[in-house]
Amino acid sequence: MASYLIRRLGQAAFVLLLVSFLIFMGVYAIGDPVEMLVPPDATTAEVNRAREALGLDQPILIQYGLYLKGLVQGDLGTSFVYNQPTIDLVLQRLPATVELGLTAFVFSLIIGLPLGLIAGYRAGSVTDDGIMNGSILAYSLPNFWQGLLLILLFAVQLRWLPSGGRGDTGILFGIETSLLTLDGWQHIFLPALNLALFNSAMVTRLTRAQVQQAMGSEYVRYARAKGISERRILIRHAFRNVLIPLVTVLGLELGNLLAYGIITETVFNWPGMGQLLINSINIVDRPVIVGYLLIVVAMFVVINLIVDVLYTLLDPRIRLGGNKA
Amino acid sequence: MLKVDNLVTSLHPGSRDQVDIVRSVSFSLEPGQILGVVGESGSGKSMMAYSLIDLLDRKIAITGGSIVFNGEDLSAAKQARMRELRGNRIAMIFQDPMVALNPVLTIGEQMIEAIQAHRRMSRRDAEAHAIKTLARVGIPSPESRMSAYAHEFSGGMRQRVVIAIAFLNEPDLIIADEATTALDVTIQSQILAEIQGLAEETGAAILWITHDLSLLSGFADAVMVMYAGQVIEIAPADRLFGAPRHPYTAALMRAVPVAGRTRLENLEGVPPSLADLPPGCAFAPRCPRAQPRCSQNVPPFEGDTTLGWRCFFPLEETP
Repeated sequence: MASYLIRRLGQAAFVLLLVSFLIFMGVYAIGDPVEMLVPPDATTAEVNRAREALGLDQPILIQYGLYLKGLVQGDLGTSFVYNQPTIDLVLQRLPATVELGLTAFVFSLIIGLPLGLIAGYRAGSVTDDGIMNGSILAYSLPNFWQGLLLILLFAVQLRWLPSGGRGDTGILFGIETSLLTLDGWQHIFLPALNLALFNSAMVTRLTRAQVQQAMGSEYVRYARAKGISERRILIRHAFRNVLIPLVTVLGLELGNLLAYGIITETVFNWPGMGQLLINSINIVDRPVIVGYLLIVVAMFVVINLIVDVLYTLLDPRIRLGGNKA
Repeated sequence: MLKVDNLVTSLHPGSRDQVDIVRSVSFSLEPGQILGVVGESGSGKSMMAYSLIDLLDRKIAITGGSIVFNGEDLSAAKQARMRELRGNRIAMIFQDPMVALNPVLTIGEQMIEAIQAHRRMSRRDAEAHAIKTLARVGIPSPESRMSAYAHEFSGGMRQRVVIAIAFLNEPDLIIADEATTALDVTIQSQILAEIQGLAEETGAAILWITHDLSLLSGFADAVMVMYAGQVIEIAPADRLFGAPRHPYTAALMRAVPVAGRTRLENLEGVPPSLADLPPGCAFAPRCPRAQPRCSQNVPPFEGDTTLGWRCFFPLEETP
């Protein structure tokens, strides 16, 4: 287990290095940040002064080397535009995004798992048809449009919930969160539901397919031969086996929800990292773009590690590190 | 104790595509008796067994006859009643324990749930009972094996676990479907001997389904031979092995390797499709003794549920 974790950390460091290099070079290719920062009527001398001040007069590989040197010391650089450390900018907005992503993730499970179990168990029935057709809608309608419909219905027509923004927040373990106040819940409910819809459709379909397969398996027939109740067969025998493939996909989905809720954040005016990223790309604020994406990659690495550990808990046939049991 | 009378089981019942896969099967079983059921793949032997305990696939159903078990007609029993009986009064052993046992649940859990599905018993008592039953089928250090998973056992030990599960609730009837087919011959004979012992001890009747006729000699009390969904011969084991009456039974016996004989005789041809049966005897196209009459009329069953055959021209009874 320990050697496995060390190996995984080594792999993670390599991935982060590779990603940082690719993004660094990619952003360099987009355009010259100095052009965006100085006033249009600036003299050549002023432009050069700005370029020197930001360290952009050095060759690109030297710039990258300097960036890496800062990175290993935990310094993600300073934003060209806001003149603030990148880490501060990201951390200001990270709680809002993580909270939205996690809430959406939980919503997608609450919606998707029971529907998938029912549809899979009653495959071919009218209930199954209904659930499958509903999931196609949630799956194929554009996410932003679903968001607009939710706003129209719940905020404009029924006036039950606010149309956007983040409500009152409380402090939990030193982190701001909406989940402690009623106002916060009212604000997060619609964006989280919007973000969850696509995923809940996917969870439903995946669970259904897996349940259907498990219910036709030999161990389910054997459990029936033992006289085990259908309820226990579904929940204990089939579902335990269904969880194994499900966890892989859910891990990736959680990463997606956390990293790429940008559209939902825009539609609901949610003050998360998505807005920061889009602004930064528009003005070629390289440290923020690279820093943000590195944090996203690190999240994916951590989630995948958690998924691997969960595997060993769910499936006794799997041991970490490839050692035979 | 078990009396099956003219059982018919069909695929797509009631539709135009209805195909009878078990055709008018009758037999009876007494406590402690071992009845071997032999036949080729597709002869309907497994479907007959699944019919007895209501484990048929969705498109297959019983369409005729009766199954009387301890005085109760199972062909008319409700699903809830069948669930009460399954694993309790009638247990089943499957061919491949590797796929029958749930890979992600411990052996202990799969045993305890089988007890608690039928008896009000505390977890601790159920656990103790499970350990005792594992020891009874010859599993070494049963306490520690309770927390093991199916993949952590050898093939023979896995099958012993499944046998232990079958005997957990001391059933009246055990149905074994090719239960030793996947095992080495030495382990197979050990397990057969143990099952014989357990059946004697507990008085359980056993319905032993196999495609291997030779396995049944010295093991089964009576043998039923199935072909194309029908019983074509049934007899006490010594009588059947000594003097088979149906040409198919005789052909099966010649296809078993015997020391001292140099050539195996093989039976030409394949069994007919159940959806497209010949008009007369189903075995006629492959039968060395067939006469014109055999491909015109279906031979009736001669005899009763303990000794009988379905043939116009049975082999002579050798004295």
